[in-house]
Amino acid sequence: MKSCQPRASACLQRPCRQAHRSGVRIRSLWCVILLLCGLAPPLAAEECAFRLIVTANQASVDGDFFVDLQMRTAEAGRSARWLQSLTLDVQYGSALAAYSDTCAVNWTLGPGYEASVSKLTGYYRVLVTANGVSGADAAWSATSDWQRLVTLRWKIAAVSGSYQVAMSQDTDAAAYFIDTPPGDLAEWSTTPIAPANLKLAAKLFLQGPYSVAGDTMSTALRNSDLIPKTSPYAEDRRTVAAVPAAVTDWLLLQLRSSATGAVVVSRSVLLRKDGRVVDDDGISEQVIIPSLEGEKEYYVVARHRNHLGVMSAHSLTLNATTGAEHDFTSGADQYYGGDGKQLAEGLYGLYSGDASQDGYVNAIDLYLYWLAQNGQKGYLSGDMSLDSYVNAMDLYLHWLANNGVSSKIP
Amino acid sequence: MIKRYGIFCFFLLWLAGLANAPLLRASAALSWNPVTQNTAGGSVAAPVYYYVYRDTFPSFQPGDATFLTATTDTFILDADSRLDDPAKNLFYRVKAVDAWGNESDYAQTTGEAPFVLTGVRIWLGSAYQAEADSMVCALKDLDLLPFLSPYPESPRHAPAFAEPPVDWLLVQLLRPGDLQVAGEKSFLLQSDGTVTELDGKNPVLGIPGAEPGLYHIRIRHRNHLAATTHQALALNADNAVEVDFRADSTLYAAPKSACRLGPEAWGLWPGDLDQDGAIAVTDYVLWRAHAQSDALGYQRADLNFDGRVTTRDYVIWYRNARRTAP
Repeated sequence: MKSCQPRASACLQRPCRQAHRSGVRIRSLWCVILLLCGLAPPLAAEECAFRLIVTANQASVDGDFFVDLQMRTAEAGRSARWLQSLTLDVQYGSALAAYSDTCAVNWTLGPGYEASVSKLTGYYRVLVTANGVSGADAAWSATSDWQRLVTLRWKIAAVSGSYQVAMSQDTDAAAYFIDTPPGDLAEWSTTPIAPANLKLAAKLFLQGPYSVAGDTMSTALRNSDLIPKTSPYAEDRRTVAAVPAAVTDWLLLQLRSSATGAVVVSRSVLLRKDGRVVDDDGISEQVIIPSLEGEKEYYVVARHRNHLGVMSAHSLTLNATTGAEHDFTSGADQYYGGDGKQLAEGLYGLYSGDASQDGYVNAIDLYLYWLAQNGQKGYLSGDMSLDSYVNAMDLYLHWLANNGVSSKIP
Repeated sequence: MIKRYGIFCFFLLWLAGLANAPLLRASAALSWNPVTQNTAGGSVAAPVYYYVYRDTFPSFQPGDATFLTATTDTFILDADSRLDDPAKNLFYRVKAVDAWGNESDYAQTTGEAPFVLTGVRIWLGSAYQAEADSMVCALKDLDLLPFLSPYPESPRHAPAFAEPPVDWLLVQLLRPGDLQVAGEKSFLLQSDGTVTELDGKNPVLGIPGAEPGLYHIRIRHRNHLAATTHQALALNADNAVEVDFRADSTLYAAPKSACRLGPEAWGLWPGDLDQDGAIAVTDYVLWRAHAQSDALGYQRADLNFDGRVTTRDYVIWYRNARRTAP
């Protein structure tokens, strides 16, 4: 409560000095009003959220890396709000470079908005104001459904499994028209969806090294010390200090926001002989996948250097705490397109034979890989059984058996 | 141990800046009458030392930080480099101490430049928090507040911030007739609304360049509309006349130039980035230019003082657009 002491200059006559009694009454009334206000529940600010969705990832130097900036109101059922303004900084790591041409395309805002994306050092600044908006028809309505505002574009400077792109928690702010534009406005309480280290447990068998008798995969490559410490996958060339025992080979896991969407993140992991995807220690059965899109639903893609790639039949809700599990071995219905290779009764795995990694088992794999490497020993794509030798067994049991099969990843 | 006696009569004779040709730099020559008698009319115990203090504003409090020299002479020549700048003023205070440690009062006369004293209290509309009845100091907390005043009319430099100020302010004195600026100076605004000297404590504001007389007091802030007193106030060099803009909208020159911040709280309207006296589209253009290029810093487009130019500042501008102040 403010003091009743007058603050006026010594040389100024103030009305409240002369009307002391009436001033007391007025202040008492204010006290009552403030007390009533204090008893009422505080008005909670409406919330909106921003997120980034990868829409292009060419996974090559100078290739495109595009991200959609999307927003929505946080509460379902609330009526649409007319976007009035927003500021948001989108920071990016050194593996990406600012697009030399226009870095922002596909704006969905209508006429009357002033929208820009500034290319600043290490970040893009998104700026939207609606000074020219008049009438509801011209305004962009935010709803509880995610909607794209703009597509942000970068060039890939260095290929990486996970590109660092994140919205600043300090500069995000947005406001909406309370009334029909142009009217009074209110600020949203904003929440930019933060990147997250997602936990995933997965199990899959590769047809090549799988043995029905032992219900495990071969570790012949590890036993011959042929598995490289650096992942063979260009999308994420991670290096481990040592390849743990019981490891069959490297595997590449990728996450997508939608079945047909771009790859959000690629992660090289180790595949243990029991089918478990494991961390670098060969023990932990939950792998950490850093995703700029944060905790949400993803499709999980698994690729091996001479097997056909597969994708989960449905999206999985991944988070940074509990982790989700997907078992590709338990049924054909675990695969997108419903087509896993049956290894035994009720047991499924990945088709062997795609040494070229073009999604098909065909003559290219035969002539360019198996035939070229036949008779050699090593860590070779033509070695489809992963026993360290390229020989007739790879040809007859794997390539010939699967010739004509293709990946169902869209 | 120095005994305080208060026995000496003391007079400062004159202070003048003199061009010193051999050194090619300005200097100030100070002289004063010697002290010969105590207040009881008896003789003082020789030798008598004269302690000289110096600062950049009148009515400063002498202390270790402002001590210049001690001398038995009744004359010193000060050649401080700040005297080279005609836009700057230095002010001096002297006291006498006799052989027994008896001290005189400090001399009140401080220099040749005319000045008047005032005191100001005011709220900034976008910094005021009604719950706490004070203003936020985020810029200081973020170490973004500059030590140099942002007002080119009075480019003062604070060596440090002893108290966490909210921001710099410019206090101007306007002649009643033509409303032309008679004197102006940069000061610091504290979180309780008090405008202070650079030490963060002294609320007595000395405005050089103005002879004692009637003036309107105008308070300018770099991104708020200015506030001017409705009445011309009689200011002098002896007593600081205090103006409290926080609790009385009738002090303001125009009723709508006071921004109501609460039942009994008034302040400056935020949004006048270009300082043209109106919150208009030109301010929006400035805000947008800042918002497109800057992230963190001391920026005039940062209306809510959080160190960043964002939609939160734009909302403040939007709500106050079309307001004006005389």
